[in-house]
Amino acid sequence: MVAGGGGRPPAPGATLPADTDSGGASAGRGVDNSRHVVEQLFRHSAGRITATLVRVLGPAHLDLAEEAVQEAMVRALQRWPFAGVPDNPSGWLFTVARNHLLGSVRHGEVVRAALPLLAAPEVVDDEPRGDDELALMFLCCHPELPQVSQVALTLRTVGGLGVNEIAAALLTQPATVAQRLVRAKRWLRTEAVRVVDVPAADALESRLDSVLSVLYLLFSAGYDAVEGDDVVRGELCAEAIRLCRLLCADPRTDRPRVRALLALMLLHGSRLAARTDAAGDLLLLAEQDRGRWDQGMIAEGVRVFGSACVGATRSAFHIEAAIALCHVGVATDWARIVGLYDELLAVKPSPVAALNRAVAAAMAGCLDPAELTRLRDEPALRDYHLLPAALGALWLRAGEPGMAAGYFREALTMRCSAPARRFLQRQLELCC
Amino acid sequence: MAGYVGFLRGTEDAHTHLSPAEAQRTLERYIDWSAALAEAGNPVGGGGLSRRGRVVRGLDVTDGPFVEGTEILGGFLTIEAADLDEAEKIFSSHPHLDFGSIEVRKIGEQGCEP
Repeated sequence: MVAGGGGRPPAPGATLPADTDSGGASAGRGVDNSRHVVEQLFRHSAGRITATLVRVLGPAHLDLAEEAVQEAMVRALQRWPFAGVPDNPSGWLFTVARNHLLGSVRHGEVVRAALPLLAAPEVVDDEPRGDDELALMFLCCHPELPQVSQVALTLRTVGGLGVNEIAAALLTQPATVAQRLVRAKRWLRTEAVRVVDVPAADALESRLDSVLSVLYLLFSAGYDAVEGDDVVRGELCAEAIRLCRLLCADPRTDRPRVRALLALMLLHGSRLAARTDAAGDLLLLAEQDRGRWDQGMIAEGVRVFGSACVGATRSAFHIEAAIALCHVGVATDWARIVGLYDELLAVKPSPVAALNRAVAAAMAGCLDPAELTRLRDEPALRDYHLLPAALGALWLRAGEPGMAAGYFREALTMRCSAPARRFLQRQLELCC
Repeated sequence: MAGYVGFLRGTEDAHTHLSPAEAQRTLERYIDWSAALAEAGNPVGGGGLSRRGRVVRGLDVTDGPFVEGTEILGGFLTIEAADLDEAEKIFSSHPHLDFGSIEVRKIGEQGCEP
């Protein structure tokens, strides 16, 4: 489900329509159906074209860029089914979007001033530049925007997802997403940001951290919540991986911690398809069919993690990737995982990490009961169904089904997704 | 067997609310429909039409539109069918019907058929 990299269609020999109203097969000629549309072509093209247009027009005109992209896709829909898919579909879409902007008469002064840039040969000849996407990503993850808006804006503009898809992926209402996008665009129209580019060296590290946080959130949203459309969620993970690859591919943003995040996502992503059974129910790690783990992603994750372990810095992503690495091994080394969680808690303390540490400690046979009491008093975990669920699992393991049942019942009183609820029911039945 | 043409009509904004992924899925459904028909041995053809055009009426030439209001004729598909009923049946599975209408006509009608 999680596939890496956007398929870039071949560029040479491209036939671009100079006039977008030309073309089309003549009547009676068979429609060429031999060429299939490249997977995710529209979504990836939308992101790339938006990125290039926003670079030229400026962030204040994101709406115009999106409108042009929309127009190009509508034209493709009205043309390709009859005329066949063009040789260079992404180039075709870009040309149509650009021509739409050039042909529109109702532009303001700023846009009119930028139009000659759009008509410049280097913009015409090339497909949208890869580093434009990188620059757009930095714009969307601007620290002055609330993080929820950063996530929505990144998915919309760089990821090419629609409002409904974003809402489904983030488990919110479409109206909420739309409102966040409107506010974010309003902010973009203020004078705050004028140039869309990868930030200069002095600001780069902290801005890069904002981008990494958003990618981490994107991936988690796709990976953790099991509610909603599986396809959309898988795409969310794939998109986070694709964008992280872009960061790794550019020398300006290729850092050990960026590679560590990519490794972390690849290693977790390799298990995505195996995490649920045919009925969509959650499976424990021990219950998962390891044959369904994506070995290609694991191999790449291991390789990328190796390349991330250079230099002196050991980021939270490094530690989390190391933990993920332990989980894809043949036998899980719980003692090592406990040590890694200790390290993670020192760098980036969080109640959820503390809970995970406790579970690992129990598995390793070195759990201090006082630790669990502390977790029970943690306000952030008060409504977190996985805390009693973990306690139930630990008691069940310890041969105390009576104690376990109490915790599973408690977990069932809390808010959680339908598959998680079925999982807890199943555990509860094991206790009786 | 006779040739039939289906004119795919729709409103100007029929596809504008689609997200990129939805637009691509729609496109693939259109292409798959023709591919499936061609695979079944029906020599499906067709063409896209320009958005703008001219209407020639005596000496008076005007720009389009040719059809009412904001409705546009996006393209046409040609198929073979035994009769109009079969042609209608074939076109009734076309994904365009989610967005607009298809007008089906016989090609090469002599005018003296019963």
